Amino acid sequence: MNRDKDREAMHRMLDGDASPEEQKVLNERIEADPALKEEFIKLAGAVRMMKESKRPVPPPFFTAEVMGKLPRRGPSLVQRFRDLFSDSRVLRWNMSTAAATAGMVVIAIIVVVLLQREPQREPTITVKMSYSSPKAQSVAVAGNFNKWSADTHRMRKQSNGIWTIAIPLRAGTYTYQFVVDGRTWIVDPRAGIMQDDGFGSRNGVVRVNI
Amino acid sequence: MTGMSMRKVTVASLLLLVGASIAAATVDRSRTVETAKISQKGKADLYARAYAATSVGIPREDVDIIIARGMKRGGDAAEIGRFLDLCVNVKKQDLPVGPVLDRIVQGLSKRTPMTQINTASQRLAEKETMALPVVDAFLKQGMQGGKNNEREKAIEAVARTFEQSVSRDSIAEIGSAVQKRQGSLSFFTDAVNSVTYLAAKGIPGEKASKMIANAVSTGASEKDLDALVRQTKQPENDQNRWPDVDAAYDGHL
Repeated sequence: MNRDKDREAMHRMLDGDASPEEQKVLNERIEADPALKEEFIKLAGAVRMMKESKRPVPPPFFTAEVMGKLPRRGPSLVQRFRDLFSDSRVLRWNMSTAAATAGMVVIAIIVVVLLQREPQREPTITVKMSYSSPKAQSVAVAGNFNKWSADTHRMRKQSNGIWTIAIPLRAGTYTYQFVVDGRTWIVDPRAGIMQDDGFGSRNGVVRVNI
Repeated sequence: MTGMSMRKVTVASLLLLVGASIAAATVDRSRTVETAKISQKGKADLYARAYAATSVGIPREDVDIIIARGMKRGGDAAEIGRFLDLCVNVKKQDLPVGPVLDRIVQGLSKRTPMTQINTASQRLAEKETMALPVVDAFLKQGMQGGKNNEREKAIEAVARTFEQSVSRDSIAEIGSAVQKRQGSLSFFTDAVNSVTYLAAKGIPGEKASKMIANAVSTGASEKDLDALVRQTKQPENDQNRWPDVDAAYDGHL
């Protein structure tokens, strides 16, 4: 029996595949050949160590981390741009990331709903105002309903030189003046109720009851 | 993408979302202040005062309007800051800040001189301080109301009559007349407002107050008071008191 056959027999015996007869023959050979005996002892020790040692469990995402640490040849800018859209991707997830993502989606939905939801509409009454000024280039109405903005409520000029506007207002008391040509503030000459504006002039008063 | 980096992305996204919201809310004010020709110290001071104002509950829309219009008018940080400080003080005293804000915003829009706006808004705040115990006294005496913003409206109405030199006694007389009829605070407010409306038509405050007190005593309703105000004509000899009406372009229908 040559040395290679001896080795095959030793492997089969250590794997538990050898027949009793084969084992007997091999034992005799080992006892007779000190070199073979030494080799068998080393081989048996290695097999025992492997059996006794625990199989290592790789940490999570081991492959991805190893791959990430591998040196890369820098691809060209065009290649990276192409990869950005063409590369297939695998998203690894766990419960915490899933919960966080779900939370973000819920927040986004709430924000969208809140932004789109119309405020609860209080009933309004349309108040019509008019001012006659055929020579004016523009007339607007400013009051506490629009924070006294001189350009958000512009009136429309009719053919007879009367400027008109219809403003939906909720129940309440409103003060106002007309703004002619963007600079001259005018008290409504037809206002049935007026109030001191605190600066030496007066504001017209509109009371809306619903 | 690993679990750890995914979590980082999630947290960063949330922070970004919150940050973007805050940034969007302050961007308009920042733009207004940053482009204004005032010193860095003035800008910092204005931001601080604006923050103080919104912190006490003054609507940020009003704060932004005051700053924007004040800047547009060429006002300096100190002048604009005074408006905000006044509003903060009014709010801290539990007085209605709406009328004071309205006067400031209105004055700025009407291009009234800054000092005049300051004087007029401070005067209104002082009159509100005087009006507060008057209104609270009626509520303590059992006048019905005070829910929602009824109390604030009553304080504003009384403060405006005080601006027309109407005395506390005259207001007390109207209040007593309302109480005798077991009228509400809302009706009292209507009656007091009628005094300021009559005063705006040139009727002296005290005289207007007597008229309204008498009307309430004789059973006038809210509609009657409204009709009384509407039917009262501006005195003939008072035409020049309000030149803005007469100079109202060709505003006659």
